[in-house]
Amino acid sequence: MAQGSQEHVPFRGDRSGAGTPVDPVALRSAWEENRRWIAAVLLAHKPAWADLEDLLQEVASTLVASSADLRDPASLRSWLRTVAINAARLAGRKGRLRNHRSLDLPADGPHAVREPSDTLPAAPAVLAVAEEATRIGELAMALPDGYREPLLLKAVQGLSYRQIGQILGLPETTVETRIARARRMLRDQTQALTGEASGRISEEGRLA
Amino acid sequence: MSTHEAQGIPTGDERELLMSRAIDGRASASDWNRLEAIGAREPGLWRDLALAQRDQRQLEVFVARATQLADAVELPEAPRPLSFQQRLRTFSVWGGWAVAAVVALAVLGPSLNPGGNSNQNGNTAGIVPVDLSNFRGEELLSKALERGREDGTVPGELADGYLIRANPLGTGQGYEVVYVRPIVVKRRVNNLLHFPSVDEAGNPLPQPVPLGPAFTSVPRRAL
Repeated sequence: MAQGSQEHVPFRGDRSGAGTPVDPVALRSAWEENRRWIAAVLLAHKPAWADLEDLLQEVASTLVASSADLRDPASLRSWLRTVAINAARLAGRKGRLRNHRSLDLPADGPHAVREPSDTLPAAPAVLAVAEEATRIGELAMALPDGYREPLLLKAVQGLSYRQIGQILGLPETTVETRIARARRMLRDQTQALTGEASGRISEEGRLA
Repeated sequence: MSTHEAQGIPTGDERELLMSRAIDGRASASDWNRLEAIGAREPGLWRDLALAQRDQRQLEVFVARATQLADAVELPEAPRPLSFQQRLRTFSVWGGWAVAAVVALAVLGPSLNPGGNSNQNGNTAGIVPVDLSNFRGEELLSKALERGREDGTVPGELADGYLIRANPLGTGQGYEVVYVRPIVVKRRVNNLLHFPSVDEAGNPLPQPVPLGPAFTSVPRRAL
């Protein structure tokens, strides 16, 4: 399914704004349309050990609680991103306070707790693809802020540059440039890991 | 000329942008011409393009795996607004006290000044000053009823009360009784409603009370 294909999400039956009840069907439709990329945003910002599903639930709860106050459906995506980032940062602060870093298993990475289906025996080729995807994903998660999030969003199936620009609040050309640079950084890192150093990227991410 | 070229983006970025467009399947014919021109000078371009495409596909697999749980996360139930029945219950709990307080204030208003001086300056016309400390609750209620009868807000009181509880006093003589004292009050309301039916959720459905000479029953609730 194409993510975010609907440009305006009226939560109220007559699109008139305040004074009319929230349309639960439109609200649910908006959530189902956006939740995949919201998960990608959370992935880009959450601490490694934080539970993605819990954070998604928090965003969903905030959407329901605030739906009556959402006046501008066109800004829904950027608002949802802000909610998601706040949820991820709050989880980070809570985690630091509780000092769980050394106690919790990371939600991602080689020591992650997997669903039962992930532990079933798989064909070697499938395992190889999964391992390589995990390796690339971990490299992507280590990219600098400002590059990691647009690159992950571009990897969400069906999300266009324009929609990513709406989510990030950036012009489409800026999104395109950042994704291109992020891909270059990622390629250089994978080449460096396999002993094929390219050395064509500066510390601040500028391309040579 | 692309937007980025017009903005003076460096050549290194142009190479990556062209590759990025090719990866996403959005490179134009002129983009491909530029890529071929760069590739003719720099054969490593095609290898970089292949590696970048591979990285993108694997990143898509990674993101799809990591975010697939999102499909199972549903919106929580919105907190339902108080049903009519719940609102009525709240009203019935506090409404009586509110009415009693209003009646008491109407009767005793000027005497409630913090200074305790009931003869202070101000509009006291028609209000009898009363010192609260001189009256017990029952006496205050009697005063309120007396005042209500005078101004017409308490037309009367039913003769028979309803006994709730009666306990013998410790002295051996007499009883302590708790009973309902049915006082008839008259108020002005904006709407007169009754609830002859309920909706599918069991909430009472308000309907205007049909008024006329034949109406004799007391409405369940005036709002």
